[in-house]
Amino acid sequence: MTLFERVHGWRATRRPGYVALVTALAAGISGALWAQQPPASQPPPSQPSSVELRITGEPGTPPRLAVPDLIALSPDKETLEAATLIGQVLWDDLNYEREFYMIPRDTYRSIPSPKSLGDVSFARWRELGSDGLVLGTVQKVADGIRVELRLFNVRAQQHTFGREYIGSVANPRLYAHTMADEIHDSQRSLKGVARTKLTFSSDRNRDPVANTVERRDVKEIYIADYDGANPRRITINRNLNITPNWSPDGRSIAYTSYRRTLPDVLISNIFVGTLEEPTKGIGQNFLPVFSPDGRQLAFMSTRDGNSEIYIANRDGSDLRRLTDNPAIDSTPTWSPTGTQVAFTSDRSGTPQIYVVGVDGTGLRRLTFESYADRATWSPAPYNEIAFASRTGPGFDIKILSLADGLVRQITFGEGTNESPAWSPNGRHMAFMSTRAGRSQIFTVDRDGRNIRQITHDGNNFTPNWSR
Amino acid sequence: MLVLLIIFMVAAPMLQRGVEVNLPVARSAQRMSEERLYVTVPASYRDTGNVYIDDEAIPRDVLAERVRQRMLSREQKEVFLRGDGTVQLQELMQVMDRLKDGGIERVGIVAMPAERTRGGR
Repeated sequence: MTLFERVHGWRATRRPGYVALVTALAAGISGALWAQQPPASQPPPSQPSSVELRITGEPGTPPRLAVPDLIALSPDKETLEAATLIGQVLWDDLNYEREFYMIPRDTYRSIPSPKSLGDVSFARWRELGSDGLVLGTVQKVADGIRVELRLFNVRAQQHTFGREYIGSVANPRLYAHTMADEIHDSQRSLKGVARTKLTFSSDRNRDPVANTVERRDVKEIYIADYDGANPRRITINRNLNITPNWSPDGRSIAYTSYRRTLPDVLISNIFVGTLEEPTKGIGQNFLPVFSPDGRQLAFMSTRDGNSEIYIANRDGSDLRRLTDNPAIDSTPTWSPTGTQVAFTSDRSGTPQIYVVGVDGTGLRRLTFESYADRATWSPAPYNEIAFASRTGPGFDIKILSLADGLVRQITFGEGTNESPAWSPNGRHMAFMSTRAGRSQIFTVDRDGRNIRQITHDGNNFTPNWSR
Repeated sequence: MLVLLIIFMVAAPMLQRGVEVNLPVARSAQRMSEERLYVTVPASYRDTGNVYIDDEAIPRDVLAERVRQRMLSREQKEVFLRGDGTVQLQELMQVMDRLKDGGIERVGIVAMPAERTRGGR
């Protein structure tokens, strides 16, 4: 990839005299100590490899960005479609993190479309209130398309940040996602989620499960982009496959599968198409979750007669039982450091969330709800556990802050809302909701705003967000 | 064209009102209304299509979006419209339509009190 990553020329102004003076003073003070050493040579002038230029808005308001359609430099239909799609997806991606006020795209009509990246009518964009402008071009090249994107500071009328990508035309959304993540990183020091993916269980292909009296549709594991685009089916075993969980490297998905009638934990390596069976068919095993380093799995098993939480290495070795209680212990989730596991247990009479160290010590009850389940521990810097709490006929998503023990509610009785799963930057959650009729995957920000429906086809359950 | 706006008339504020006093300090005092946003429709609107938000001239095409941006942090979705006396009702309606698109709920039409104009029309 040829990136032009234009860097604005800026040299560190150095004052050699000052540096020499300081060195001389230091040598004089601790001369005895340094007597053996050669005189400190002046370090080579440090020249920054990049300079960050940040676009700011008026005080107290987020910077306002405009992202019009890209300029198609080739007249064919594919390029034209990519130019529009990349602009739209980039606008959506930047809007998703709520770090910028995104000026609606239908207000750009009065501004003449530029013919090239050098022909920007800054005054007109300024009239629209824009602080920043992302312009780009798409051009057909021998082996795909070449996408060039630039972020302009509209007030200063200068180019702030640019990227050039060459690649396949098959998925133009990826160029927008990549640019969105880079803009969030460089402008807001934020790890965006535009290139992350969701996995979930779905009955959308509507096959009945074979050999059952009761008519039930199969559930297979799917993955999709964070915004629901590009859904892809991962399992094809025509049975129940539920509770998928991403490995931290995003290359594998662990899930509960009933493909041999009894529930078992499987790991699909989604890019190479191989399957791992960490539990080797011993007992019934459910709800696998990868440890933060990806080397271990926590899961629930009834292999010793009762539902307990176990930890094992990814290959099934070094199996350890974490809980020992006649009640049902289920739904484990790892702390971000991998030193604790939170889980659901009904040992108090109702299901509640508990936490225990991975060495089995420090057991503590966390929730005091009427019914709490499906805990999911947020990534740093937020130290929070989201869970589903019964609030009436259905469930709602709540978040427990571990620092102060306070619980706040995120959803409020629109359908049932279950199975929260944090995004890797901790700013969003995916969850299952019946608010739109059937069970669908939605995402919501950690303050309860920005609710979006991700799936629309069939019933979809138990989302999990790639890291 | 139905414009659902609350429209009221306000007298142009005098620069200084009342005698200067040191007001008492109260922690629970509510803030007076936010800073007013003025939209001005000059006599040249017919030719240029430009209006002013405070002191900045902008084309009417971007008025709705600019007003929306200004209203983001405000509770009261309200602007004060200063129209030149010669602006036609049709032109004023064009502007009000765009204010409505920008999320405005209340428009105050600024007028000069009669006793302050020469001859007291």
